[in-house]
Amino acid sequence: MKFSRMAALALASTLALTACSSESTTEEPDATGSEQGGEITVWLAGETDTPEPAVTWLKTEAKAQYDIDVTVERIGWGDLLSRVTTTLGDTSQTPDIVELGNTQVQAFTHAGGFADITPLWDELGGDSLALQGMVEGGSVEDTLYAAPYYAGSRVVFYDAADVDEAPETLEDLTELAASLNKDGHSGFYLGGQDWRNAISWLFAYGGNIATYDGDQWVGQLSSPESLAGLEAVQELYQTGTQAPKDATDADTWVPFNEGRASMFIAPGWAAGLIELDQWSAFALPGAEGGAAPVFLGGSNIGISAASDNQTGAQQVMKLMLSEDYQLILAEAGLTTIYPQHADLAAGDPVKEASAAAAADGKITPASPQWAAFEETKTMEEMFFEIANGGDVAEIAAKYDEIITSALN
Amino acid sequence: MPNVASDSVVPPAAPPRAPYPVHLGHRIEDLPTRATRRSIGPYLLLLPVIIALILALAYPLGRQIIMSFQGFGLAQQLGTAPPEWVGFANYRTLLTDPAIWTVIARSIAFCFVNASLTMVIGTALATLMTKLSTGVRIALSTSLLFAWAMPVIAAMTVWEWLFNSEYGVINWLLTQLGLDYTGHSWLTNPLSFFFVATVIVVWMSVPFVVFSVYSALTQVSEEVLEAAALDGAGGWQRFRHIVLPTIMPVLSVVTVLQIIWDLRVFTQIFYLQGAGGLASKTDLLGTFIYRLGISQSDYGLASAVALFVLILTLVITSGYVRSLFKEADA
Repeated sequence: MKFSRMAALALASTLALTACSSESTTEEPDATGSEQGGEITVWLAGETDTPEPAVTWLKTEAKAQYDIDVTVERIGWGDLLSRVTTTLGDTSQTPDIVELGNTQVQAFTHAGGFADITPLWDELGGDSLALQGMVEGGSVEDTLYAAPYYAGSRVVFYDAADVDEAPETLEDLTELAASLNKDGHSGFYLGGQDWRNAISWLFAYGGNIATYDGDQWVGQLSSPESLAGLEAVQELYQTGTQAPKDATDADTWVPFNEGRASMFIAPGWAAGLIELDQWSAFALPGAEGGAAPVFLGGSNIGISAASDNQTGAQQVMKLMLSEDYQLILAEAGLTTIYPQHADLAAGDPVKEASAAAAADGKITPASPQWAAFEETKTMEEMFFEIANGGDVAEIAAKYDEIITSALN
Repeated sequence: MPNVASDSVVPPAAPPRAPYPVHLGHRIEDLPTRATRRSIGPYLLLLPVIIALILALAYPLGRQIIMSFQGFGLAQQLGTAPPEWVGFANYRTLLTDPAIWTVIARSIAFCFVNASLTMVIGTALATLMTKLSTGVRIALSTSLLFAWAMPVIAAMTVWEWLFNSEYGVINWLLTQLGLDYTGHSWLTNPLSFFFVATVIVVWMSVPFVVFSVYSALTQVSEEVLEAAALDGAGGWQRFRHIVLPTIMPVLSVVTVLQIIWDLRVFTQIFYLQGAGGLASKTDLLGTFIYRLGISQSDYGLASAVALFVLILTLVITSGYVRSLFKEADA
């Protein structure tokens, strides 16, 4: 009796332990190739952001030119930061090249996660290339650790059956949206937690999320300009949209394709996902005409300092920043590091709108703490409260305090 | 890490399955064997477990204890700067931050509601299963098994769609019934968020309780029940005075496990937060520690909170664990 009990106990606990250990091994990402010349793993952000033809081109060229097998893994934006954080320092797990959002990259360049790529960038053209604002974001002092990969501005797509011409100002846009808004159909689809798009209203009225006053970051949501922007977006939330209060910027084209929205806002590449026949796009209008300074989306790519195939990683990165590869991105509606690609925009409404919006695009505060703050989903909560009809001045004051303490 | 800890609590579950009411004489019979058969065999059998425990438990736990006394951020995680010793600073933050205490209180409440619901529903279903005809019982246990075997992310995807504010069947059904639930968002209100989370967590946990309790119920002696019935004991009396004491060892083990699992619930909450829940109002300890450590790279404070959860778990379950050991010694 005693013996069998003990044996059962031993067996059960061994089973329990092997059960967990096998679980944890499956969690590990594929080991990256460590042999020279051999394999390079590239992590691309988002499931659809980099067009598939670019990936195919990269694999073919890397094999042909350097005999390198490139493995591309697409990591969802939601998992990206945590996966990079946990693997970037570990030689056996780290991807060789990783794409990060331009609001996330500063945390890693400051922490020393990336290799120095200043010479590579200079060889490609250095100061003569476009997207210099993102070079700053990827650098610590004069050393570049993460090169600009592409930028993409958000543009407004519209159903040509409902909208005849682009509104001139943001106020006109809200009015137009309100006139098209009815039960089950959004004039302008804007989710209650879609802060990345809603923030453009704040920028359009000249507001800011936070500014650096010389020794610390200070929340600026309560400035008169910011308040005007937040009130304008609240009006749109209340009169022009039927989007759920829990919706974010994910899949905003779905209701549009289903005929449940006349307009929606998304990065330029969303053009490829639209299934309507008659549609077009315009740049989000400014408060007083022109194009609003929208939240400029974009990515930087860096080489993991822990990668044990630095040569191969440099070669593959050079391919990803080459004119041919970047051209594929440009054709998909993204703004690339080559200024000459901007000419491609002529005649295409999406690319024209995107270029107009990018000209004045803004990014989030350049504090190394921003990425961590963004992960707390505080911005989502703030816009949720605004969309729900809360008092804008009170909300702004409350979140100014939170932002000030989080960014310093 | 707590995953391993709780799983290792599983083994004691096995012994109490023996037919229990035979206490008399058992001890006397057992004593001489214990003295004479003290050989090294059993210890050799334990060796793999001990090695596995050291590798899987002692190392991460030790690392965590060390980290909780350090300032450990992104640079330390990437190996570019040495960690800095901060003494009890992380614990001081933990004890004085009202936000952390809100999360702790919320977690304890969630844990008790879920563990109790799971136990009550699970025990009721197990009792029901003893009364069912074979065919129905097999159908029921198969569906329970499916619910239990379903990978958690797959299940969560289905649940999210059920409660989706735009396309969800639940909203559609309620609207069909004449209530206006068009576009109703279940997850943005913290209370209804926890209602949805409770439905899902209980749904996922009940099958395990049913199977464990049902197997214990099959060990209840028919003779004793029959004798009690002849003596005039009603259904509830038989359940309360015969069935319940017999299955008590299993019930307490399963309860301990439920409490541990529900206290460190992570996946369901994390997933629902991604689907529209407001993180600051719905964080439980699991997601809070994750956000603190992995998202915000404050590994020191995250470790301190994680150790606090370990201690909290021990405190909450100590009563059950003690009674468990008492039973095992009896």
